[in-house]
Amino acid sequence: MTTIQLKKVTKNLGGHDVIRDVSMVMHSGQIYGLQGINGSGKTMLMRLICGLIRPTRGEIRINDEVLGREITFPKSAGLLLESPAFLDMYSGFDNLKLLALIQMKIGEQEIRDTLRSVGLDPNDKKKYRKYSLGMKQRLGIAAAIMEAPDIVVLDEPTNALDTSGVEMVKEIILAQKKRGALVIISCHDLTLLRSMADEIFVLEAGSVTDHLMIPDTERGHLP
Amino acid sequence: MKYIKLLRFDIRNGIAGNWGLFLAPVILAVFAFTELKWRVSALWVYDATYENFTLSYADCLVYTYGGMAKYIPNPTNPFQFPARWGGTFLLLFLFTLSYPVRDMHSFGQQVLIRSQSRLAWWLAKCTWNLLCSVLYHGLITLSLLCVCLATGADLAGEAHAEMLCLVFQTTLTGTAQYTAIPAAAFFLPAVASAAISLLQMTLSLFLRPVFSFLAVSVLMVSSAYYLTPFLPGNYAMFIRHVFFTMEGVTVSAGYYASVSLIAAAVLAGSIRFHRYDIIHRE
Repeated sequence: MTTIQLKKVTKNLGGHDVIRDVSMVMHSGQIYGLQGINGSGKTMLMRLICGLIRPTRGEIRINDEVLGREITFPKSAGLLLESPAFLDMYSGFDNLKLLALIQMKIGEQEIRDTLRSVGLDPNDKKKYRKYSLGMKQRLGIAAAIMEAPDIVVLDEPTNALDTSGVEMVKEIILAQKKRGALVIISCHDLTLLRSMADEIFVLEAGSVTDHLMIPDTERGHLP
Repeated sequence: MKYIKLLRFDIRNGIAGNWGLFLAPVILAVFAFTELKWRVSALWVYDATYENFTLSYADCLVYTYGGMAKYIPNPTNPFQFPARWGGTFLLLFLFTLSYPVRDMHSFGQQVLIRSQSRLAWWLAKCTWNLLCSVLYHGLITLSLLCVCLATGADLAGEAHAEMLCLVFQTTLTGTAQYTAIPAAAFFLPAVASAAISLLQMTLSLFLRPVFSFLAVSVLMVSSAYYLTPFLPGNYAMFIRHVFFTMEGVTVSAGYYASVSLIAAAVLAGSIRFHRYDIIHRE
């Protein structure tokens, strides 16, 4: 059981509050949506939760451990932040293999399975630099989910994807929820978020302006 | 264990993955040798023996890392930055800055989070940086050796101090009795360069990366302008050593200063990176 708790988190950058007094609680087995226009603070909030940046005020607890004090990063997290970034000179498979070598949680077979699940061919020798935008996005999602992390953070996961790609992302996200992961996704499209998320936090100028609980009847339908 | 994994990752991607950039030291070495050969042959106006002078390997090393003689401000003697010497170092600094910055804002974030340790990540980058400096200067040294072998230069001979002073338009001062340069001195430019490179990487955590590069560029220009042991660029200039200049820097001071700077940069960077916000600033 994973719980993320944000207590009055504020992040100030260059004298400007990019995140202001945000409090929220998230639990595993749920999908949380962050919705807002560009610059509303979605990505910054995700960076805070991943431990890449530190709050100016307030604290973030992951399973009762304070991020940045008791733990440096969430112990089990997969992320796709902004645009996916991989090493140009390697294939998608080789990129994921390099990442998997750090924690040694999974082997080649799991990497192949993950690549197939996002619609990429694990035997494709094409270098990452020759990937289309859609393929890059799929590889980014694969990197985030391949080690079955407790926390999955996906920033605009449907970017650069066609309709079938969006459907695939939705299936992947729901599969993560089913296995008990805590999923956080950001999207500026509220209708799309409503079709997946259990709860949505609406952000405006770094503050949470609305918290929507999505009824079961609304979920599972693509717009 | 994490550190070893991260270091292997950096070596694979930051060195092996960028092998093209390591062609530069080979080109720089060939260029320095050719330039020295040409400048020595032009010395025949002072002494006819220079027309068919046999260079030694030590001459080539001293010339490549010579820098410039002590500058004495004078209206008739405008300051001229030793461009080839400066370029040799600044090219390395550009490379040792671009990879860590690029990595931190792209693939490296995934690596960092999986490693669970900011300290291991930072120490791996510092070690990678040191290895880059050693490899870069090692390649220059090796390339010079190859060129010397190919052209029949004297491999075992000592540096010709009087010839080098003529080339650098200075005179032997101080003891006036030139003694052989100790082997330890030949490693000093690489060690001083590693120290400045690490200083730059640490500065990039406090300033924007472009400003940290500008800061070390200013440091190199200042080192050329002022002969003082407090500006580490002086240790990377052979012609500023006590072998050639009375008030020159010593090899031991160079090692003390460089190692202290390396330790300070690693430590300051570790402390800073512990709370550093990883946001793309450029």
